[in-house]
Amino acid sequence: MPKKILVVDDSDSIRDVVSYTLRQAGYEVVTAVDGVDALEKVKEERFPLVVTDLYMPQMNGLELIREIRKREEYKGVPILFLTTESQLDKKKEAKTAGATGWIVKPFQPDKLIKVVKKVLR
Amino acid sequence: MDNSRFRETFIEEASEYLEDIETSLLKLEKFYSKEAVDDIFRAMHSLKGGASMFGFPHINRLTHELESLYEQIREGERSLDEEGVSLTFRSVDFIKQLLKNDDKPTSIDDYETYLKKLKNIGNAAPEIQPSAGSSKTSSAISTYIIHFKPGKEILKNGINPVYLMDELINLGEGYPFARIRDIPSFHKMDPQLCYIFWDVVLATEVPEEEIREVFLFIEDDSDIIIEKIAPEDLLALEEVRKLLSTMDSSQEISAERLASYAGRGKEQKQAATEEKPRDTETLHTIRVASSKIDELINVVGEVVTFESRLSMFASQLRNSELDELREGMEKITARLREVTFDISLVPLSTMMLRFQRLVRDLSQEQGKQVFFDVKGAETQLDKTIIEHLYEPVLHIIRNSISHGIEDSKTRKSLGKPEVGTIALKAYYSGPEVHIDISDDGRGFDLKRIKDKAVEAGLAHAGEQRSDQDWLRLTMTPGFTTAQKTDGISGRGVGMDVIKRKLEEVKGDVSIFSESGKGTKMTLAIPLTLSIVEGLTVKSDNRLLVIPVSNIQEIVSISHKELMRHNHVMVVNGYSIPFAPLFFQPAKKKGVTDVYPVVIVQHQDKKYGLVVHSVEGHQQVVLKPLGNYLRQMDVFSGGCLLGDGTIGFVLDVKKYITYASKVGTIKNQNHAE
Repeated sequence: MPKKILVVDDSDSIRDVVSYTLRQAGYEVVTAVDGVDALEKVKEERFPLVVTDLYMPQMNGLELIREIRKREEYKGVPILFLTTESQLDKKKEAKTAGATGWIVKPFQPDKLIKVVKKVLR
Repeated sequence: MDNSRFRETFIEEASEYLEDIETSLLKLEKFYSKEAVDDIFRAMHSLKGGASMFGFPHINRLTHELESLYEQIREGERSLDEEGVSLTFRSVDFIKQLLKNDDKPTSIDDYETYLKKLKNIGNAAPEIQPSAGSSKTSSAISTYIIHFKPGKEILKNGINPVYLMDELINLGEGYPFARIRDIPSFHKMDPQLCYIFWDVVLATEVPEEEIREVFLFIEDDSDIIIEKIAPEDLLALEEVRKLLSTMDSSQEISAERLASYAGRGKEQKQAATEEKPRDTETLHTIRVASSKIDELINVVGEVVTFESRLSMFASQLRNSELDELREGMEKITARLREVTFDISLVPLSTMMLRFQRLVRDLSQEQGKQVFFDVKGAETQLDKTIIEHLYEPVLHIIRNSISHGIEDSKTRKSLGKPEVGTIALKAYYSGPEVHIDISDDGRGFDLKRIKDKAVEAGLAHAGEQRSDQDWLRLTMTPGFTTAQKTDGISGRGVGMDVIKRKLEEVKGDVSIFSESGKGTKMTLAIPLTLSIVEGLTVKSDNRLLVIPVSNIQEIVSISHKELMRHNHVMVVNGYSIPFAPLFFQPAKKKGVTDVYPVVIVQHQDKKYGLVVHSVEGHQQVVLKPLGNYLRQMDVFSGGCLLGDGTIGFVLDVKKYITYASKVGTIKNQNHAE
């Protein structure tokens, strides 16, 4: 069974490129367009990994991470956030919120896979 | 070292590398991709390594040339042109041949000429003899002591430090010491916090940045000290290994003490053989002989049968404890069956590469431009079924290229895109897998098919049939022969072969074609052959099993209705032809009996099978009938039922065909 990853981003193109890359690497991908959408999906099933953008309408990534971490079944599940080089200071904030790590945008496909593999075992 | 066993493994491994290379080459033919070049280089490199290690000198030399060629491409020193790609394809074939012939070229002259050609194109670096192969790596190993104390909260954010230790040690060779002295006593301990920290002695050739990268994400919260103690592999030294293995986890490692061993092992190292690399690789998959899987399936089959017997026995005894056991057994058996079934499944992608190559070679040979579009290659099927699919799919694709797709000039004049497309799409559909293979070529010539069919005596002149029915006729053996003798190549050989091959795995094929626009063939194949979910029915005291996948519903019919002469009943507004299943209803008057009718579906039509009683529902393991009963092909096999009696599993498709032929069932179906 391929592992199922939840990818959250409000930008179609980013969502597409992340999903595509992950699928190419053999993962199953479920997408959500913002935090609210993602939270719905998180309630339905337990994904072994969540990858989320930080700036999104409705509910942003930081809030989403906090909400997810409140859920008992998501204790210890890795959550990665996508961040651009210029907002690297967000790192601390997101980690305090409960994120496992980050992927810097723009990313190289193999870099993304490497990071995902690292947290998904 | 038992070389022959490794040779076997190498040959298997090599075929996989070659497949990878072909996949990348097919990609490169469409557009340049650095990744694909890297992949080829890596695969060639691995091939070369294995070939030199396990005694394939000819493959070794060949891959050496190719590796240098791709090295240059990688470094941007030369570009990869069409000639390069073609040459690589041919080399792949060459290597395949060498692998098959135990590294003996069919002609040594050809081999040398070919090698020279490769050398010229690649301007290869001087050949490195295998014995000196690993010279550059061994000197670059350094030894480090790494202190890693994770932040206490590390577990909360989904990082498992044990995995990090694995990752670290996989960089080379390592001795980890887990420090547990900070773990508080049990009642004071918070299980969500991490109290352990580690010291690791690591010998690796990767640079320090890469070691640091292991701790990505947690650098800020953890104490990480990486100390290089010697620019050589101290762990290769017997004394160091001895020292480390006698130390327990409470003892500190002294960097000075370890460093003092540096420089001592020069002579030792020379003698030490490099046997490590293979076993450090992580195992994602293991190879198992397919006969073992067959054996497993057989045994699971027996378990399933026993479980059915147990169930039946338990339901008669009505003992609650036994019932509980039975229930548990039932669940476990179902899971066991699922898991085993899953093991025997193989994705279609395993054979896709061969088709990609076929399309490439064949279209080039015929001067046509064909794009092969594959979707759903991840669809999985029983491995035995996959083996049977190769030939029919091959025939279909070959026919599509030879007879379907027109050459670019013709296509242009017809207003079609110059490049023809063959699309293969696989998907699940209920208990079956469907594979659509379509092309946008010229399609079947219906008129010619009609003429041919009449000529071969398969139809009357002017007969009314649906296009589909006419197309189906091309799959009768007589039809193909008629075409061949007369030399007209409508769709070439193999239509009947395609059908026959699919029937071997209980599959079916349907053809859709529009003249001038293209053809689509849909292959429908069952997911598995070995275990059938069946409805047990009784007909004249004979036990029969009807596969649940064929069944639509069960209705009932009165004796009076059963005796009606047109043998058609109305269910939900549809008239459905029915037939008593292997029995002759008695012609008594005034009988008020009611019979169950199992409604089955075959090729979009419904049929009713009348039986005496429905006994139950169980999983059965299909066993072939053996030679003696081979002619009874309305059954797909026999099976052992739960109570130990023997039942026959009905092949619904074959039965309907048979019953329509002898007239026990009418072949009509329409709404009223």
